[in-house]
Amino acid sequence: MKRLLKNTILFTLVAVVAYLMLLCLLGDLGWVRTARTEMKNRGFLNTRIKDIANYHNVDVLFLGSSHCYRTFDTRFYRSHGISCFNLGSSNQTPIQTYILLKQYLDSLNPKFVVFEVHPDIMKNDGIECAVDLLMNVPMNCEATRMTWKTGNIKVINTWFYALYNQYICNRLQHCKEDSVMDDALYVPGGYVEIRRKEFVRKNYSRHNLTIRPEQMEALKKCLNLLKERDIPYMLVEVQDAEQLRSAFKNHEWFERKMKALGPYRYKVLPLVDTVHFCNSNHLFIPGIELFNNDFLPDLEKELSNIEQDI
Amino acid sequence: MLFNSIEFLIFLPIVFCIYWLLHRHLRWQNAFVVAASYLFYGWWDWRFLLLIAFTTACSYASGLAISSSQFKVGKWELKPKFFLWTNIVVNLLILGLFKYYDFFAQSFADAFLGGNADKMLLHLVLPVGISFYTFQALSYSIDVYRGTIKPTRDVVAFFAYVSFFPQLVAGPIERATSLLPQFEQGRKFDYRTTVDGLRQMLWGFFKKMVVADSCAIYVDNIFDHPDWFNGASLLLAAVLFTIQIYGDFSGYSDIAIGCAKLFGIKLRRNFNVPYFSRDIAEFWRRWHISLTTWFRDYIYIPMGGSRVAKGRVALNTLVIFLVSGLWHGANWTFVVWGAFHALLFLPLILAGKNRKYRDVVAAGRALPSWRELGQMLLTFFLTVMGWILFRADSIEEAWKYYVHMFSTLFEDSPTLTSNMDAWVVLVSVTVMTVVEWVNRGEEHEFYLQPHSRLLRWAGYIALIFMIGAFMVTNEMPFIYFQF
Repeated sequence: MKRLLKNTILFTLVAVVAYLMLLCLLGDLGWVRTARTEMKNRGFLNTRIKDIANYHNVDVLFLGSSHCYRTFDTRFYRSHGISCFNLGSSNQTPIQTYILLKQYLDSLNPKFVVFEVHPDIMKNDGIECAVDLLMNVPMNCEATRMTWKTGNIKVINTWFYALYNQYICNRLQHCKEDSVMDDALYVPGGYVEIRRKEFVRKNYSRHNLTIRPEQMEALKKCLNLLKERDIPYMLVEVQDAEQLRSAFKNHEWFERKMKALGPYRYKVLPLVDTVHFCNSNHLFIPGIELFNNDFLPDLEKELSNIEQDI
Repeated sequence: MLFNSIEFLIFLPIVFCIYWLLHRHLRWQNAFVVAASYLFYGWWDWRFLLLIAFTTACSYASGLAISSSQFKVGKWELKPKFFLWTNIVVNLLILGLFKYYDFFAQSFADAFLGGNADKMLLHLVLPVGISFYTFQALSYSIDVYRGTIKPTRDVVAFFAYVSFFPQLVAGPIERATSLLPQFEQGRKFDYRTTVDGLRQMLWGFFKKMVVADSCAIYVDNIFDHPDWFNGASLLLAAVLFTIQIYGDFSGYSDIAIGCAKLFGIKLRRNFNVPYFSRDIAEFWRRWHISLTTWFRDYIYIPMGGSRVAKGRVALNTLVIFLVSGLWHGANWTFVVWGAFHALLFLPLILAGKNRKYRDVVAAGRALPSWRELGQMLLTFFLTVMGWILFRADSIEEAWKYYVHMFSTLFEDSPTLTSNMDAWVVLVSVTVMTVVEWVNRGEEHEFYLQPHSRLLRWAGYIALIFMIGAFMVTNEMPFIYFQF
C-alpha cells in the first residue's frame, strides 16, 4: 500500500506538469476541444473590458447577456444626454455578472443599473460565458472561485490556459480586436450592432420555463451588491420574437419570480418577427429603435427620481 | 452514480481506503461492499434498492431451499425443482413487469385493439441494470440446482455477490461459481493487480468519454434526421455508431473489471476485440461474452444445443438470438436485430464452421494477411448493417434508413459536423484501434505490464490528456444502462 501511495503521488505530480504543458502547447494551436483558447469573438468582451477605462461615474450601467449588448444602444442614450456603459457579454448569466460587478462597479460608479434578465439565461449553466470571461478579463479571486465551483472540465482547462495566456505570454494586454467582426460592429460604450438579419422561421415546442437555483442565488447576490451601495436598479426583459415567446408555457411564473426581486419591466411591443427581429431572441435594428424609444421615458423617469432624491 | 461523474471520482478513493482498512475482518469488509454498492445504486433512485434486495433475498432463500433434501408443507413434499422454478418465475415476473409489460401490452393493442392501449399501460420506470442483476441472481439458483455450486449460508457474501457496485448496473454478468467464492474468502492487497486495475479503468474511460461520446455527437445528429443527409453520411453514422456502442459498452466493462481489481476481485472478460473477428461466429465469442455464455449455458445447451438434429439446431440458434435481442430492450428492433444475426450465424453452425476461428487473428504477426483483413472488414460491415436496426427507434425507421442510405450512397461525400469533432473522432478511433490491435492477445487491451516505466507513464499521461482535452463535456450515460 505504501508503494501505491508513493507512486500515486509521484505520478500525479508528473502528470499534472505534463498535462498543463500539453494544454498550453496544443491550446496555442487551437487543438483542445475542452477549453476556450481564443480571446476575440463577436461578443467583443475583450474590447469592452478595455473600454471601461474610458467611463467613470456613468448615469446608467447595462448588465446582461447578448440581449443586453445587442439591444441597449449606448449611442441612442448618449444622444439623449444619458451617459452609460453596456457591460453585457455573450450568454452572461448572473454568476458571471457578479464577478464583473465586483471588479468594475466601483470604477463605473453608476447612478442606476438596468439588469437584463431572460428566461433562457436563468436556466443556463453559464459555461460559455465563464470561459469567455476567463479569457478576456484579468484573473481575479472571484473568477477562480467560480471556476472550481463549476467543476466543469472546460472551465477548469480554460482557467489554466488563461493563467498561462495572461501571466506567461502577456497576451491579454496586447490583444486588440477589430471593431468590425463579420456582421458585428462594436460601438464605444459596449453596444454591438449586428447588421445582418438571419431570421429563420422555426417551430418551437411548447415548454415550461425553469430557473437554475444557482443562477437565482447569484442574481440575488448581484442585487444585494447594488443595494449595499444604494444603487437603484430595474430588471428588464427584452421581448423575444412571437414564434419563441408563444412557446413559453408559464411566462407569468417567471414574471412573478422576477417581480419578487425588485422593479421589473416586461413590455410586449407590437413587433413583427420577420421585420423587427434578427433571430428568434434578438431584436434587429428597427426593433431596437422602437424598443429604446419606448424604454427611454421610463429610464429618464428613474434618473429624475434619483436627481430629486439627491 | 455514473462512472464518468465527479461523484464517482470522490466515492471510489474513499471506498477503496475503507475497504482495505477492513481487510482483517472479512464479514465487515463484505458488509461494507454491500453498503457502498447500495449507496452507489441508490444515488440514482433509492426506491429501487428494495427491488435488488428482494431479488437477492429470493435467490438466496431458493438456494438454501433447493439444497435441503426434504422440505414438507403439510402433507406436500416440495422438490428442489419447485424452488428453482419459483425463483425463476418470480425474478422473470419482476423483470417482465418493469421492462416488457408496456411493450407487449402496446403490441397487443396494435394488433387487436387498433393501437389504443392507454388504459393498459403502466408507464413504469425501468430500474437501471435490472436485466444484469436478475440474470446474475438467477444463475446462482440454477447452478445450485445443477450441483455445480454449493449454496452459501453467508448472506452478506451473497448480497455482495449480487450487488457488487462495479458490475451492478451493466455487467459483466458474473457467475456464482467464480464470484461468490471470492467474497467468501479473504482478499489480499496486491500492488500489481491494483495498478493493472487502474490502467484498465483509464482505458475504459478513454473509450467511453473520448471515443464513444465523440462518435455520439455525429451519430445522434444523423439518426435524428436521416432524411436531411446523403447516403454517405448515413453510412458514416452507422459505422460511427458501431464504434460508439463498442467504446461505450466495452469501456464500461473495462472500468468495471479494473475497478473490481482495486478490491482484489477478478471479474470475467466481457469483450475481446470483437471487431477483429473473421466471421460472425467469432464475433459472438468476443462480444458481450458474459451474456452470450449465459444464454449458451442456461438456455441453449438445456435445449439440446448443437448435439441434436440440424433442424433443431437451427431452431435453438434462432431462439437464442431472438431472446438475446429481446433482452436488450422492449422493442421489435432488437428482436429483428437478433434475427438478423441468427441469419448470419445459421449457415456457419449448420455447416459446422462456427468454431473455425478460435485463436486470435494474425497470432504472432504484426499485420493480418489480405485474406484476414478482407474477412474482418466483411464481418465489420455485417455488424454495421445490424447496428442500424439496433439504433433505430422502430423497424419502419430502420427500413427508411437502409433505403435512403443505399439509394443516395454515391451522391456526395459525407457531411461533417465540425473540423474539431471530425479530428477528435479520427485520432481517438485510430489510437483505440492501434492499441487494441497490438494488445489483442493480452489479458486486456491496455496491458502495458511488460514495458518500461517511462513508456507506461507516457501512455497514461497521453490518455489522461486526451480525456481532459477532448472529452465531451455533456454528461452522457452509458448506452447499456437502459438494458
